[in-house]
Amino acid sequence: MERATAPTAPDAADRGARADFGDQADRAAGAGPASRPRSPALVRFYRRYATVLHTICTLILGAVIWQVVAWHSSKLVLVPLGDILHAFTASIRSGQLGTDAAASLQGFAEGFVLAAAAGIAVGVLMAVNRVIFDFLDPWMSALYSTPLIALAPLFIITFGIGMTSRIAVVLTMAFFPIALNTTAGIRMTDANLIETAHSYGANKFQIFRKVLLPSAVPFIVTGLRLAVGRGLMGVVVAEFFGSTTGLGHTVFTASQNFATADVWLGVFVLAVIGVVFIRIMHIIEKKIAPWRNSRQGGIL
Amino acid sequence: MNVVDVAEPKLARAVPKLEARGLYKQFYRGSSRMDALYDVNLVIQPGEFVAVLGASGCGKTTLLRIIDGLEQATGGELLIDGNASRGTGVDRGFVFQQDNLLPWRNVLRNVMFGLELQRRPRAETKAQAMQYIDMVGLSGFEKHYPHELSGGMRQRVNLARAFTISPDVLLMDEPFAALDAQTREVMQTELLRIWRQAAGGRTVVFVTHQIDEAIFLADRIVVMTARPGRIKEVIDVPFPRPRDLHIKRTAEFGEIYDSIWKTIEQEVRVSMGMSTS
Ligand SMILES: Nc1ncnc2c1ncn2[C@@H]1O[C@H](COP(=O)(O)OP(=O)(O)OP(=O)(O)O)[C@@H](O)[C@H]1O
Ligand SMILES: [Mg+2]
Repeated sequence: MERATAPTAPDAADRGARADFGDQADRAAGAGPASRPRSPALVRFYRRYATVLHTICTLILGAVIWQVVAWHSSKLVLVPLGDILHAFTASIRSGQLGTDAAASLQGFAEGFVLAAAAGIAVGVLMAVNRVIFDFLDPWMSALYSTPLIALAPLFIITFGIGMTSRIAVVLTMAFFPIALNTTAGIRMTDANLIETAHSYGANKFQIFRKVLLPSAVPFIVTGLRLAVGRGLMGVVVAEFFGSTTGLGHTVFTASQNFATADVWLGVFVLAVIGVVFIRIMHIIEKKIAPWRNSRQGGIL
Repeated sequence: MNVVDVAEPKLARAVPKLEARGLYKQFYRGSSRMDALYDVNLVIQPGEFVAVLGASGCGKTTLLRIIDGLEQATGGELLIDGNASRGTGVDRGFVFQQDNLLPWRNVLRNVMFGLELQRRPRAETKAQAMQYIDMVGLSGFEKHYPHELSGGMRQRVNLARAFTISPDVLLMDEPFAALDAQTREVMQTELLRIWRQAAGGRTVVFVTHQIDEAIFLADRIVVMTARPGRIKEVIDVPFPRPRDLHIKRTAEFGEIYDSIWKTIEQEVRVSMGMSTS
């Protein structure tokens, strides 16, 4: 008797729920439930690729506005996109852009990886140990909110001209947002989940590995994203003052020679590098934190 | 004592599974002190199913947390198998009032959590988990994440997770409160089935606000007073096992229900600051 009654109610509940999910999946794919009339092909195409289409539109719009403003302003400040394209091909042909981008990227990537490793490690230590937190927190907060970039010349004095000073500046810039976000993420872990793990007999290491760390992942990724922008700023400023190569160096010399197209070229390439790295963070987050159904904008 | 009714003679002479001896629990908020439990004495035999009823805020959750080892009593002793309790352990499983599922794990991995912590072989862990997922009626949802489930479904995952570790003592804090009435009845029946299958071993302490649920499930019902929680009355439930849902419609069930309701009504009024006329 006890057995016989069992399957009915949950089954019914589940079927209802499954129907819900099916509906949701349909809507996500852009096709309504079968009962509703199908929308015209063009509308379906738009719904499906909305974000891509919007991105293309806004890029075109940006280019148009750029051109209009460029026609009406000094060539020393804004040049038409054609000139920048010209500078781009010239720089590619001479190999300048390749060496610059490679040098900057190397400095940025090495500094960023070091910052990520050190930032996550320090962030974790601060989150799990009260004494470490108390000792480090005042310095971390102060240094994070200070424009450390102003110290870049001192790094160059210390580490000399070249890759080392670049890496050191990137590391300094990128470290703090990563460390602070890691600490915040771990400390924000739902206390109920920690308690549940305790109740299931988890030891400290297991609680860290299976509860605190996964729960902090979205915060850590946010820290890494913030660090991309700061790290790129670091690499450019380091190259302004202490380098003979790199995008920052070229932008700096170009601006002193009033070669505005080359300045903008360098800035665009840096922007692309930034966007690519932030995209990579996004993909990593999707991979290791798929439960975060971060919306594609449009909450209201 | 009712030991004889519920257990084999050899168990009757065994040490109690759980024993609360003069348990006190106080919480401090700044300088003010709050008594949550006041001189709670309770003996629970191995394999016994005990339901705990009491007004909101009377200390039921606190009592379960002390038994589980998540909280320390401020006075008195809690004995498990005759030994003073030392913190949490895998011999006791806790089904929390909230589902407390790990949002980054799908249903299957949530249910596997307990055995995974015990470092059991993965194949065994998975097989066990699948079995209990099926039992709570969630086959086909193994790959779903908690945010993709309804409240009732999440709570069923929570139950499956607790069953999977097969604890000696199952501590359940209003586990069915989030379920709709039909699913709740099915889960009650399922709980009894699992409990009976765990031959003689599994002891259950089940906190609920539903009087009929307590009568249907339990060997004994502990009624607590309004805060500070004390044990007001312990009622033996006479229905033989296995029980089915029909007993809920018998006259005897109604009588027990009414007498418990009278006992509790007073306490609910006290806890809400009303007169007890
Ligand atoms: N961590 C805490 N700090 C301070 N007070 C607490 C804490 N936990 C519980 N209490 C207090 O102890 C009392 C008993 O709480 P408890 O959660 O055990 O009640 P309960 O019987 O489970 O209530 P409900 O039926 O509403 O779940 C409450 O008055 C509550 O305010
Ligand atoms: Mg409670």
